[in-house]
Amino acid sequence: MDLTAPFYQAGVLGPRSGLVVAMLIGAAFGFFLERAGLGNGRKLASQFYLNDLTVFKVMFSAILTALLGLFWLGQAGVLDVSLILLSPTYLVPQVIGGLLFGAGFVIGGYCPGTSCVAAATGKLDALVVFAGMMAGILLYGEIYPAIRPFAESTSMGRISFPALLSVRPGIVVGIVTLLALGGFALAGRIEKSRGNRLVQPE
Amino acid sequence: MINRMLGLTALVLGGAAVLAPASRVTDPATAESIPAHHDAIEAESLAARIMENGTAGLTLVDLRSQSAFESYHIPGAMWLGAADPGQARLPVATIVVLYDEAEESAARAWLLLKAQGYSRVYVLAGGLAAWDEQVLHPSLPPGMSHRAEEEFAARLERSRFFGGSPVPAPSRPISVPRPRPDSTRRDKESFDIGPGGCFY
Repeated sequence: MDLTAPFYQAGVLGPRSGLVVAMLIGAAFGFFLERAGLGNGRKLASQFYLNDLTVFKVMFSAILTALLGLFWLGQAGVLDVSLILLSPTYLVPQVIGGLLFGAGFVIGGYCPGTSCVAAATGKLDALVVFAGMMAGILLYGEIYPAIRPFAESTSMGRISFPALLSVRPGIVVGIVTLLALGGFALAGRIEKSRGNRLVQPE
Repeated sequence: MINRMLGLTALVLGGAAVLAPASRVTDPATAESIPAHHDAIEAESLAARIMENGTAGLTLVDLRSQSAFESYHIPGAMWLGAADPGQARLPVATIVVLYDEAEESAARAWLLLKAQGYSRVYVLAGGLAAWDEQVLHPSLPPGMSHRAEEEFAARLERSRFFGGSPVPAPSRPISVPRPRPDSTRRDKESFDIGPGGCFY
């Protein structure tokens, strides 16, 4: 639903057609993750050893494309940016959740999306991660009532960087663009100096 | 070569964004107020409806914590527990009114219920904070006009109906009822029903 929020909010998509669109977007997402090489656990884990920065480059390419696309579609009046559903920020629980996520990513070799992609191509390690992810979702759902006070602490609401920094959205777009392009250049240098080695099985 | 061209395109688009005027892009942070624009019910009109017809045809859903619900809730409201409002089976034929302390989780629940196909879902504008301010504890300004006095008598009745109490007059003299403050911006921490607001 998050993905289709503008169409959904505008009433173009109903609950059912929204699911169909989500399915198509999901399939495209999976296809491009696989094409980018992110269906490979070794490539993903190598990110954390700074041997292969594909994950960083793919993620920031996606961020940059979406950022510039949304901003300029908004400027052109094609898209009402204010209708995009933002997830609310709960600072401390999300920082801790992020660290847990990262630890699971390094240990398992996949993040949730890429584990589905790799499982679809029949990788057994990805199936294990996928099963673990499902068990984790179930467990979280079961213990949620007990941890709810913590999970809902340090709420900052639906906050965005332009609102937080009190600047025009365009300023943030410019800063993120520079960070991404700088990051790409740096990633290229790091990979060159480290010889682009994948993590090898022991 | 392609990488360089893509990078250059991004640089141009990103650089131009810095210079672009802000007016045509609404701040995404306002997205949460969307249900409030289209599908909100004011505290005063909800109160009037309940006084007239009771909660027949209405499903009032309290989205706050259990302890908050137990200490006070709008008469006839139900508490869903920890259940996701999107999963709850609510009576389809009724008008569903969601409320929270402010509007955050009510706006989210509104979206979930809309996605489930509930057609008549409303959010209590300003949440229970607005209810507290406008219905339970309306303030009585001194030296008000005859018309305002009549209006206030109705408010007083409503406040008593819901077990609230009018707030003593502010010390500074004003001749008309003070404009209603933007209750959605009220600090959540300062929210307090007060002893007069306890219904059960």
